Amino acid sequence: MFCRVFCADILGIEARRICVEADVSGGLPGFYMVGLPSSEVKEAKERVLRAISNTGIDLPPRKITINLSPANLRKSGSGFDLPIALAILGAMGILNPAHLRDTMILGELSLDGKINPVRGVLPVAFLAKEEGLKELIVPEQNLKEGAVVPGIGVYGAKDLKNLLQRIADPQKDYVKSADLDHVLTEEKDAYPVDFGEVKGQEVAKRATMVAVAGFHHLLYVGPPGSGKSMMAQRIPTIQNPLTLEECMELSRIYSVAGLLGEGPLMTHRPFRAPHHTITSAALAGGYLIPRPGEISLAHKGVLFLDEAAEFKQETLETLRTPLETKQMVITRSSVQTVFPADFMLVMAMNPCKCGYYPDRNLCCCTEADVRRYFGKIKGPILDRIDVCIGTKKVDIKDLKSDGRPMTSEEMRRQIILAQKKQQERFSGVGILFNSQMGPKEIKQYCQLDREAEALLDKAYQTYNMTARGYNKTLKVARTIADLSGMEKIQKEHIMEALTYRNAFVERL
Amino acid sequence: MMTREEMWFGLCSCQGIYRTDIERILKTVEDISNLYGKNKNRFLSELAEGSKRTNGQSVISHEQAEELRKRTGIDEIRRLMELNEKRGIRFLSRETPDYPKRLLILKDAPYGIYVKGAVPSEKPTCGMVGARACSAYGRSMSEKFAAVLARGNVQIISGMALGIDAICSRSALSAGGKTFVVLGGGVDVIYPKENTDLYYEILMKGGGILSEYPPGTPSLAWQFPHRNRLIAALSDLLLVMEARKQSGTLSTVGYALDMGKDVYALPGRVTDPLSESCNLLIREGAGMLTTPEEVLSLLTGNQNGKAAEDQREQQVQKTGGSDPEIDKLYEALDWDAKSLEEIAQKAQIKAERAAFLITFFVLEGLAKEVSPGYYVKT
Ligand SMILES: [Zn+2]
Repeated sequence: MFCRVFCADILGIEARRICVEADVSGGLPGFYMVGLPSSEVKEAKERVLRAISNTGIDLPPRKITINLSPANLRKSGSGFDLPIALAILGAMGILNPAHLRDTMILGELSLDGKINPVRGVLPVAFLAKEEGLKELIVPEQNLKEGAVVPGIGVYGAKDLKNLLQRIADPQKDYVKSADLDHVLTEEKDAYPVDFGEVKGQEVAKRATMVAVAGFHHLLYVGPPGSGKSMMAQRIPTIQNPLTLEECMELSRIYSVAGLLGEGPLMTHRPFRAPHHTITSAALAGGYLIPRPGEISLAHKGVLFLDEAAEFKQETLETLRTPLETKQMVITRSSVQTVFPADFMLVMAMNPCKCGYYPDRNLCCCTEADVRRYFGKIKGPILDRIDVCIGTKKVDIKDLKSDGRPMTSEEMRRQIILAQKKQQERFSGVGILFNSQMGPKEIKQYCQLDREAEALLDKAYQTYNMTARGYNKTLKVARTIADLSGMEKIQKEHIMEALTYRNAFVERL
Repeated sequence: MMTREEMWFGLCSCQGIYRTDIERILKTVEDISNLYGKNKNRFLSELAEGSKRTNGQSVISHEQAEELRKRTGIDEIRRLMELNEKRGIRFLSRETPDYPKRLLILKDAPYGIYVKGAVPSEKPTCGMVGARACSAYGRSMSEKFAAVLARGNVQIISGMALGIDAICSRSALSAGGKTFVVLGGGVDVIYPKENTDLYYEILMKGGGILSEYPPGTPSLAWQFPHRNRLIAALSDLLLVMEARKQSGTLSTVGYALDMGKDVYALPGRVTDPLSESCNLLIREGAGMLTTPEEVLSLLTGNQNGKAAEDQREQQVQKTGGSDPEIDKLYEALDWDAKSLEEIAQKAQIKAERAAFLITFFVLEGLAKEVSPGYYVKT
């Protein structure tokens, strides 16, 4: 007897359809698995057989052969348990294979027959829809995640026993999929924090606004207690809302990472703040089975590196390529896995080892110590930082001041207008933000009048700037002009951009 | 026949024989030529064993006597002198005409000094010393004072330490002046390494590196107070720019006062630990530094420094044009490092305006960014 069911495995954030075929025949009893299963998949044998037996089904001693096809792909993950079990039961005639003909099945089994949650249900649900299947069986805990995709019925299975009853029962109680058009609007305004809570940091907030508006990477430098992480944490609240497409892509990443949690989708821009002891693999993605790293979990949101000078050199190095290509490619036994990683890099560091330079009442570091400290973050990463701003320690006066601090809503409104201008300008150019301009675009879109050009030339000489620093200033000035709604870059815009220039890197 | 210059060179180049040892040796042998004459061996054993002349006491150890014997050989002396010449190092004994006269004021003036480059000329000199980890205020004031003095042809004397010392020397050089530094080790031992570029720039621009220790002597902590007495002696006037309580800078001040030289200190706020010693010195009678022009006229009798003071004001007005916010922002700037946020708050200017106005001042050279987002007046 023979039975075939569908399941899927995950490569990066994409699912691939896998057929699980079971054949039960006479001959020496045994269990054989073919079709490049990984050791993780091979272990399914024990779990599947024990789970079936503990559900109260006696399997006659026969020769069982499982084939996973296409045969040339290496399969990994524990989501194969359930499809293998159902294929065996189908081949044994314990359930009717016709009931599973249009069904995608995913789930891990416990020895007692319980069905455990798996990673990557969301991409599998999309795949099932694309493949024209009608039904999707997932672990009960993954039900919400599976039910996101419209036009497909989803069943959340608790254990093998219940599932078998349900398959035999023609009365199908599939969950209807969620209404995608509303999922984003419903979740709006749900950030628990706001820039209005950050007081006495209006200059740094202004710089943050400029950085977000043009998607420029940002560096805060300031003493402990100067609100660096507080501000970084609030950056998602001023970014433009996610589009449906971005939301789906981001949700796939979180689904694969097993981090989707209760909400079926990622409706907010993520904020990831890995500790400086993080390994390169955990930051960029990796492990034996490629999983998204922090940079991919920060996709479309903020990757915040606090105490940036404390990160290991090699860890920071792994950011280089993703910053360039906006994705992370992991190669394992000649298979390439691609994870999106289009994040805004926000770094924070102290101005010196003790943290208080140039306050000589507290800091005894020599100038050489200070230079050495800045030197810890190497050029290639700092080159990517367009906006650098010093933050000051907040004092009680700031907290009591009756000046009204800028709120997230005010900042976001200006940012969205500035981004609209960029999108109009770059439609057809293939970029979205000022920070992504290359030399050609800079030449075309950052023209200066005589006065502004003379000023920038003077700065170029006075500061002994590099060509890269010159271009950075132009890009940031373009964003500042967009924020003020001006077509042409003015002298003031250049001057403000120069204020945010990372003088201390260029000096090194 | 050996010259007296060679004799002094031999005596001073002994390892492990210091100035006080030489003083005792000379007391015994009466004249340096006796160390090289036909009685050399008798004197050497007398120094090591003791004699009637020494009241039976030995003057130096046997090892020192052995070293002395080795170094006073004519071949050894000529070999070392040639080596020094190749490295551009000169040896000046008290009897050499080039020996800086200012050092002779010292009761314990070195018997010989080593020089790379030049020695200070007869023109006025001014010592400038202070803390290694200085504040932005100390830095900008040091730059300002050193520049004005250097432009007024005053030679800046310092110790090439990190912080104030190096800042003063650098500023004097970029103002086109000359600076001379006294090291705590050999003149060929660049210390601290961070100032390697400064070391060469001093030499390139006609200044000099001085030391009483033979070439190759490492910079050891106990040598620095001795070095400081030379800085004090070479300086016609000593300026203390910044010093914490119990700072090493105070040893230089002590020497200068002992020699009857005038010491001026830069006043600071009473709450700043880096100004603590300066303020105390002023209370104890040191002069109070106000303007570099005043120091210049003290040293040179030159009265025309005054004009420079108003120049800044005019420049601010020229730069700012009619924008009242420019004036307010400039008033909010300080000699002490302040964050742009504080400056904007004090001037009551909106953040985005302050964010570009500050660049005005930096570009015009009226303000300087000392750490990201922190500015001082210049
Ligand atoms: Zn420090």
